[in-house]
Amino acid sequence: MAEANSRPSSGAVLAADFGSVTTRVLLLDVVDGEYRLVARGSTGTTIGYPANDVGPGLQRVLRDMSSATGRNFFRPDGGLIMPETGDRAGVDYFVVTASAGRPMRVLLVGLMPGISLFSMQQVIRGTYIESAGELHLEDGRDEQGRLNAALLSRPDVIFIAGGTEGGAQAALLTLLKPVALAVQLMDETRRPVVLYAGNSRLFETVRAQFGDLTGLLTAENVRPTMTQTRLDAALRELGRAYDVYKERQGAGFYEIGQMSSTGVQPTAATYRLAADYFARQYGDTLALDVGSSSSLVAAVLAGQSSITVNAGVGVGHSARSLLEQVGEAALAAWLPFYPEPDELLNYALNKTLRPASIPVTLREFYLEYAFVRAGLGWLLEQARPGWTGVPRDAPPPPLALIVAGGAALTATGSPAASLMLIADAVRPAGITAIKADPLGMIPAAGGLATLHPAAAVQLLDSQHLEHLGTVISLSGVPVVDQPAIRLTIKPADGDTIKTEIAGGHVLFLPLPASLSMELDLRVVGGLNIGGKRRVRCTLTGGTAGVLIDARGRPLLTGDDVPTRAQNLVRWWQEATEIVHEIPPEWLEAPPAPALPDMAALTGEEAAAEAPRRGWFGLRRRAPAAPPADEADALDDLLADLDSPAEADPAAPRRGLTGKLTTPAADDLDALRRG
Amino acid sequence: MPVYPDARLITRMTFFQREALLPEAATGTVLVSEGQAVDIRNPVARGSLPSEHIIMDARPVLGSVNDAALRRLLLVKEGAPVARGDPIAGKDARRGRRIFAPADGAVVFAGEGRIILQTRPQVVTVEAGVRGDVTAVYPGRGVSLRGSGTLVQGVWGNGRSLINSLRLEPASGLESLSPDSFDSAYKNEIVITARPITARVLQVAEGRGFGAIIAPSMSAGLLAQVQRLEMPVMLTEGFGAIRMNPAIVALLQELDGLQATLDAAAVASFEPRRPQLVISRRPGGEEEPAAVDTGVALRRGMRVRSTRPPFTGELGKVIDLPEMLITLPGGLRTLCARVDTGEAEPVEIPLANLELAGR
Repeated sequence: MAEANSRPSSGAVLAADFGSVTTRVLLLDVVDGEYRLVARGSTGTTIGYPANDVGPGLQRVLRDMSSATGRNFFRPDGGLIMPETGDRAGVDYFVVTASAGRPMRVLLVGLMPGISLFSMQQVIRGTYIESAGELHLEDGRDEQGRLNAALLSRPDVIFIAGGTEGGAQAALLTLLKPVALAVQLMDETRRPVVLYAGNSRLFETVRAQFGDLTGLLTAENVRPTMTQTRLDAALRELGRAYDVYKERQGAGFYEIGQMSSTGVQPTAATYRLAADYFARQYGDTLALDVGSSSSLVAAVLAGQSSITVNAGVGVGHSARSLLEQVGEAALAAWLPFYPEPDELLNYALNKTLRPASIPVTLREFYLEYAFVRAGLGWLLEQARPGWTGVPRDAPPPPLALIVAGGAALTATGSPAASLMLIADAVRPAGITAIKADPLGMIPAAGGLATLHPAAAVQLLDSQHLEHLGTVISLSGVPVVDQPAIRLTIKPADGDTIKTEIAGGHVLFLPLPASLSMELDLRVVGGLNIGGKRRVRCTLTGGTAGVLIDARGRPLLTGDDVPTRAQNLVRWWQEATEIVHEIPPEWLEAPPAPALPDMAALTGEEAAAEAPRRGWFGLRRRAPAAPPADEADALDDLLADLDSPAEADPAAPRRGLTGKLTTPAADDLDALRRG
Repeated sequence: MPVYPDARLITRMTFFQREALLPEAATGTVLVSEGQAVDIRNPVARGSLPSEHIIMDARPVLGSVNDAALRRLLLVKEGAPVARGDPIAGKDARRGRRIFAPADGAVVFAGEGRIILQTRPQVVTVEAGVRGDVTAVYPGRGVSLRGSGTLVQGVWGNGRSLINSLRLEPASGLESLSPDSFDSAYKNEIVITARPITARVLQVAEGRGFGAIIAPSMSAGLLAQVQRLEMPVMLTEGFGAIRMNPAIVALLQELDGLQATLDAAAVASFEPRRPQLVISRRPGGEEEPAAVDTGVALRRGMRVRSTRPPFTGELGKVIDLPEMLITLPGGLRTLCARVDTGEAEPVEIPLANLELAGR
């Protein structure tokens, strides 16, 4: 790690974030007294074939940025020019964050599953971890079993905790013995770092057992008493262990870490810092990153901060693991077709093979965003136990702000599409401002925070985070196509508009960042917006605008494919004005799996005529024609898709309540065009 | 801003790189040095996979002895191989109170009144697989090799490899073959099919003793079965029912009967390897190896391959790189390249869905 001055300078900063798919580099410098983005570049991360070194990707971007800005970054020997010179070559700081590469394998060693192990699990949820197993007093192993578990799991880090402060020591010593022996038996070049955050009375014992064998980090006891948890110190030390791991991992991280002013920091930690910062301004905040190999949710709710990182949930490298964890049913809920046998797994495997690729066809578009929506929804469910004060079975708490990173949510090319996807995936309650980080400003600011806090704040406050707009979400279960929200809109420079929004619909109001509007929303009985039946607010716009989501909570996409197709197409069209034409064959149920052998065995030739039952006596859904009302709905949908309204933008469209144009809808269309 | 696509090469004559690596879990040594020339069958690294350890309490047999005394009582050297039943500790190897090896392996620790035996680990030897030069050594892990010849990189492999001759499927496809024929055609050979692998194809392959299969695709439903096979399987396109690009078929047709190395590497994320088929050929003669276009910005004239529907596997040349975003059918807006795939009209393919295919 390069030495940094103790007093922050006001020189240029280079920030590099190595994602699994993309390396993003930002050049930040002082403009008019504040740090601003002056140049940026990105390229595919060069881990893996052929170079397996993140260096060439970084050099490639810096060469391109050098051509664009005229600033030279490299010394003749290839090193980075630091500090910045008088002729504006080089930079004062180089901060590096990373989520790329294999996650760190951590073996947990604690006393009891529900106590010390539970606290340790909360700690490791804060960064890019793959579990290498757990050893504890109730694991059913003897000493030899624990020795082999530690040896064969090949951990990068052994995280040890257990015992309250001043409490008993003998039990933990029983576990430490085989672990120390395992470390001793490992190849010296591959010994894991040991992090100890247990009873402090055992610090010296732990040092004696591991200090001469491998790198040892210590932190405050994660469980000082039975009822208290102290996770922050252990999380910080785990961040240091991550730096050691990345530098050991090869792939050029050692060289990059040596050049950097802060070592290699986990990108996840920067999201937590950003969430903490924004929560002080806005209130309850979620910061999300949906990546290729991992995803994270950093939450600050009622002043309590938490982070959940899952290194097995991603829409590229980890697509298969996402499918396994989330399940096919959760994905199918976002598909307007019956997936063919193995279609979801085929898709997931192809994404793991080409994680940077994007969907082109309509079918793949729905598959891709089913992974994003269902994956993020699942991750939020996993994060909820860590949200202090939010009961797991309670409705989602109203959120003041969501900040989203990751190309899946931010690189749609359409702010309205990004806004809608975030609303679908997070399903917030209340009135929620939405920001996106397509440039990687959060990793840059978070990486800089320990060196130059003022610069970090200036970057987070700057316009480089894209303010997409606001989502207003209706809670409760509205009656579909019946009025759910009565809305009065007062634009800053126009006539007041009154309209209704029907249940099961969304209304998108484009509103540029330079404008604001007053909204008065009254909901019908039994429904609410953030717990209120009437909400008056003044909202400023964004790159997208305001999305009023009257679909209710919980958000249900439909029990069957035709209903889902109708809903998904309509919602997307209402939010983005993009019309998806669903091929009629997508709505045809596949034939139920035949059971000819059973029929033949039992001689029941008439079996095919009778309502069939599955292996466990459950009635199978017959592949019959849809019921009359369903068929009507389907006809409506297909007629709607064929409607000349889509060919002529000026023609009447299906409007706010799902009915054809009303005067109020005309007013809104004028607002859209205006 | 320049764009640097990934590369997956399909080229008749090129310089190529092959990473010959031990499995990540293995501990081992590299047997060659940088700059050394190697042939296809030369071992370049050897190592062992982790194995179980057995803890033996020495005290009931040898009494309470300190660590130094316990080590003096060892009848074998630490790390030396022992066979099950061999005496490993005691005052005399032939008589008296002794401790015997409970399994084949090696004594790796003696102390604190205990002896620890590591059971015999599985030894892994990695062959060069190509004719070429060692360009980099990764201590304890393997080497990077550079060679020249024909290279067809795939997208997925089941973790096996084979060196043998190539053989094209019959015109009627592999499914038309009988699985239990006594005909020795295809036996032990690397068999190429332009059609997706099916359960029937696997039945034929196992019945007739194919050496390996190269196919464009297969359904994920066959994944577990294919991963269990001893024969290498490499896919060139992906999962699903995707046919092989005719240009790849044409190239492979030219190679029928030649000896090739199929490294159907099961590539974990972030590993510097690709599953690939290599036919080593020295430079010289009429055909000089083409330079490899990896790490260079995409530009007009480059040969590329599309990775996603509706043009999966299509090869073509970039004819334009428009600077405006193009709206895709789902509504995403992104930068695309205009690619000539040999059809009447060029097609627009997102830059994110292009791979360089080599010359």
